[in-house]
Formats: sequence, C-alpha cells, structure tokens
Amino acid sequence: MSTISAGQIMTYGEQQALNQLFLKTQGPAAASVFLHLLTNATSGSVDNTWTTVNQGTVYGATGYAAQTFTPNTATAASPSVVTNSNTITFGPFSAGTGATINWGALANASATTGSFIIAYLLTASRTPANGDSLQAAAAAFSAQV
Amino acid sequence: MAKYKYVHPDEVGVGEHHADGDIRTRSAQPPEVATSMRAALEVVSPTDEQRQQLEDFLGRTMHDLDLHHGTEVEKEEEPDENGNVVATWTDKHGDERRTSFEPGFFEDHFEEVTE
Repeated sequence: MSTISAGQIMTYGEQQALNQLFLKTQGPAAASVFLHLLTNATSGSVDNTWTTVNQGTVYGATGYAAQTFTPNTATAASPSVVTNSNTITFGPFSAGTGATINWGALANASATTGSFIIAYLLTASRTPANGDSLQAAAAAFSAQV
Repeated sequence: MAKYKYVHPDEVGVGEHHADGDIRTRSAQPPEVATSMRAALEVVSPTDEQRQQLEDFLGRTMHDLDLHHGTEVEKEEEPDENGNVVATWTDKHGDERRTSFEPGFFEDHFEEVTE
C-alpha cells in the first residue's frame, strides 16, 4: 500500500493522463465529475492503486450524495493546478451520522462504482450531526501533476 | 426529471426537522478552517470587499445551508445505492446540491409540482 496525501492523483488518473499525453489513447468526452466523501483514516488507509471509490469507506449518512465538482481550467504555471470553481455543499444529513469524514474522492460518476481519480485529504476532519451540512469553498480542493 | 416542492407542516427545513439541537447556533465551518481561509486570503492583499465576502461565507450557520420549506427540487430517476431518493436543488446561496432522502420522508414531505 502506498499512502497518499492531499490532492493526490490516483494511479488510475496518472495512467489516463500519461496515455493521453503520449497519444496512446484518446481522452474521454467532456463530462461531469463528482466529489465523494470517505471515512477512511487519515494515514495509511487509502491506497492510490484503488480504481473505484467504493474500495474506500464511503460516508453513509442519509442526506449524503456525491456532489458535482466543477473544475477550473488548469493554470498556465508550473506546476499547473486545477481547483474547484464551485462551492461544494453536502447534506443536510438527516440520519446515520456519527462517522468522521477525512477524505474527498473525485470520480467520474456519482455512483460509488465510478473511477477514483484524485484523493483529497481534508484540512479538518468533520463529524457532522443530524441536521448539519458540510460545505467547502471554491478552490478548497486543488490538485497538480 | 420530475419536480417536487418540499413542504413541512411547521415550515422547518429538512435539517432542522432531523436535528438534535438548534442548527441556527452551529457554525458551518470549523474554527481551524476559518483561520486557514483568513490567512490564505491575506497572502493576496485582499480588498475590504473580499474580506467581507469571506466573513459572510464563514458566518454561515447550518441553518443557512439547510433545505428550507418551499424549496423546489428535481427527483433523479434512479435511487442511490442505499435505496434512497436523490434530488437536485439550488440552495439560497445559489449553489447546486444533491441530497438523498429516505423514501418515506420524501413521500410525506414533497409534493409534485405540475406545470
């Protein structure tokens, strides 16, 4: 297992990017990507070789659903960076709370069978209560190659 | 997607209906996140307007983020992997949201909107 850090592109994502850069494969059509939440521990519990979100422990409260992640265009800088342009808000959570959320997981689908592209370690772990929501500001999530 | 409106007999939000305690007193952001965001903003020499925008964001409570009485939602055709209804809606800040609901709660508190 390889421990990963904030904004780490998963092996699946690296393969996608490199195969397209080297013109080995054609990139997929533009589409929505989604941010999921995981309750895996902050250290040593998320493996960057995972290919689907459901290989992690997805937050299970009622009210939860993966949210659309609207990416900015990659910056013209080195390293080039991509952040979320939209405020992202989960909830309100209505039942089954109590678990602590440590990770965001970017995927190409709202279902947990979606391909796991990037893992984001949250700045502050969250343990929502019933009635709460979880909100992240624009540019809260960044990733770079 | 079919449109529905959230209607509660006491005119309380979904979060408030399920909450333990008063969500009006619960900050939407943990203190460490607020501290981090204020520090990050100061790095770029912000204007007073930018500072105020950040303070407005950090001042939100869980009640501000709730799905309020009268909100219109669009029900997705497929339930989620737990069998819950999923609906998309726009909150009072203009942000697009996706939220899941127990089927019984959705049936009891959402009225179909016919146009």
